[in-house]
Amino acid sequence: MKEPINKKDWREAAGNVQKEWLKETDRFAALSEAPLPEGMEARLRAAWQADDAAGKPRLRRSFPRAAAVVITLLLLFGSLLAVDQKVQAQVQDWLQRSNQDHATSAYHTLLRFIGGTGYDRSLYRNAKGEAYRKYYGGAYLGMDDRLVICLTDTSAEITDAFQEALGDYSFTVRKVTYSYDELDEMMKYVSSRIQEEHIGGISSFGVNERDNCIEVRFSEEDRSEELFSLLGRDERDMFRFEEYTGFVVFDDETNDRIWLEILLKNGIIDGCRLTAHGDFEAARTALPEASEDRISEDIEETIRNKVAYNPIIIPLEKQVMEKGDLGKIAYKVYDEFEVYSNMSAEYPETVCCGETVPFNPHIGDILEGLKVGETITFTYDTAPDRHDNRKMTCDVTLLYIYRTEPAELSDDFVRANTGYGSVEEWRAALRRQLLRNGQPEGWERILNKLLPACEFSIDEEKLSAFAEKRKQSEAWFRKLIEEYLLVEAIAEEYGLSVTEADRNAYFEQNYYMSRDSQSAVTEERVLRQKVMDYMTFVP
Amino acid sequence: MDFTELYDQHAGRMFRLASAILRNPHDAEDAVQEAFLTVARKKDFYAAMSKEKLAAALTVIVKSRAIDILRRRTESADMDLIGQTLPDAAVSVTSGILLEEAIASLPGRQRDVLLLSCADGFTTAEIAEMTGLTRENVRKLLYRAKKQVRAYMEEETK
Repeated sequence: MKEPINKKDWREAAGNVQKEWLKETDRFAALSEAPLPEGMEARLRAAWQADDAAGKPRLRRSFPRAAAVVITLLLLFGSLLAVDQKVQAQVQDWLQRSNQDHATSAYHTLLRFIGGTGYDRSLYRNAKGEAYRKYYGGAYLGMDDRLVICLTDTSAEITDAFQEALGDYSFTVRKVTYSYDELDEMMKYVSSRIQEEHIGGISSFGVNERDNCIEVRFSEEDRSEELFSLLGRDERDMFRFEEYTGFVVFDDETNDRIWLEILLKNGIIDGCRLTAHGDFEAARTALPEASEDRISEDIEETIRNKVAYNPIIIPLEKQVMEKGDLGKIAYKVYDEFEVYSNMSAEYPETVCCGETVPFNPHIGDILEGLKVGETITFTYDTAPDRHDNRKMTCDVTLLYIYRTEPAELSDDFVRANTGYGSVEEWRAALRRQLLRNGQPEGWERILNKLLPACEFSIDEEKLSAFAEKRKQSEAWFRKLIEEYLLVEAIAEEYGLSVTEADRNAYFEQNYYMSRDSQSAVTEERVLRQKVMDYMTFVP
Repeated sequence: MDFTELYDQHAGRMFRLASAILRNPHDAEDAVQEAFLTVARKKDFYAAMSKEKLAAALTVIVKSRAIDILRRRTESADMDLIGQTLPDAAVSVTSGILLEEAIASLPGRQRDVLLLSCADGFTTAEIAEMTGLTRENVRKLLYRAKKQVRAYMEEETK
């Protein structure tokens, strides 16, 4: 019979081992002999103090965390709409910072395939993919910076369908219990019940795609039992509860837009007017960053890079793979439970024989000597903290051996690689994007010219009461209202209005935005962009 | 918790550990900064710790952040490759006590998690926060670590 190890024994033994471990670690650390970088203390102090000021955890680069940052939502703003847009803003922020172009592109494709998630359902439609959304349980960025797609059914039939939709992008599949729609439906239900019953003490909640649950955070005490009794149905497995006292801070621009929405929705701007203004035409300002040489240079560099990274592939007659050869393979990684990666012949993976293959280092070793059309199967042990140390099987089929030639810029190349219809259209879009880089600063300068000359009629009593109620700065709210009225006035002066094409362009560019939220809020955003473009000479 | 005190007592050691893992001063500083921010978010929690416990926690935090950076830096996410480039601090226990030997023989991450749990009494959630692992993974590692320790002891006492 096994002799149990009691808690005291564990503690004592672990304590002794820990002391040795710390000593060994120190010895190991001392090997580096690296001097502390100059200025490190000041930088760390600044970060420490910035974190103090923010008083909140920083957003890590993961979809679920972004989704969990749905947080702060209803109780702070009392608006599901605001939630959606905050999530979108956070996801966009993540996308910009993570520099994971392939994962971003694949995620976008995935959303199109399954018809979007909760907040962007109206934007993404794909009749074929809609049939598969019931299996979709969320997605996030894995440790390897590749997309992990959660599915409630990981049979080959379903994973193949997702693979087909994502083309040659290599992703990981994880089996989960709940579909995204189930979680989303439950979250909306919770949201409505919390609002109806005015439950306090919940600092945040949202769909956590990584953990396939709805994450609820309490700012004070655990209210989970109260919440369950309110829901009237027992779905405890769907929830995870945590204590969380932090706040989420958004960048200024996002924060402004969210609060303007709230001001609009609460009727605070109703009755406010711009009664006098200066010369709009004189205030128009070309962006300082918009130097023609610089823009042209940046456009050409972008194009050159795109062409360089997308060479023409020319299959060879050669039949046996040798070191240094480039090849296209189909492969599938699976164990007895799940298919983890599956690259079909239609969307082959690129490999170079003898080199380490990033998506599966084991493949590089077995390619040499493989014949075209031949399939080889091998097994390998996964690392301890990936896939639970399970044994994986991998089938690899060599499709063909090829060489590459540099591609040439043409309309065909642009259509095949960018989504634009022609070189000219692509250049125009790049130009617009580059011009807009400096737009926030340019717009600020325009406001500084115009606002001092403006006169406004604002319902001060209503504004003051609302600012007090929401514990926000009255002056800041006034500035938001004034800017809103100014945008409306400029639009009227120049006959600028929001067209369907403007909306489409806006949602195409901001593809995480929800079309469900079609309202004065969305119209304001689109109109504001149009006015900013006009005032800063962006074509 | 006071920044200056934390910096003076631990920053050098944390930076050297990160440097030894990453071999790049910029990345090492990033790892230390991320570790400091982890502490900053729960100052009261860390401030209440004993000196030894805090040293252990900071070591695990900075090591975890350094490994995260190493992962991001390594084109392949496969831990086999990372394992080749990451010399982990081994533990040699001379006391001759079997349980200690068994714990010392555990692979790096299992050992880290077990030590934080058993020696320092950190909860799964706290360990998850320090290491950047999910709670589920922490629970799994703890389970495997204890299982392996028992197997080691059974084998040695046959």
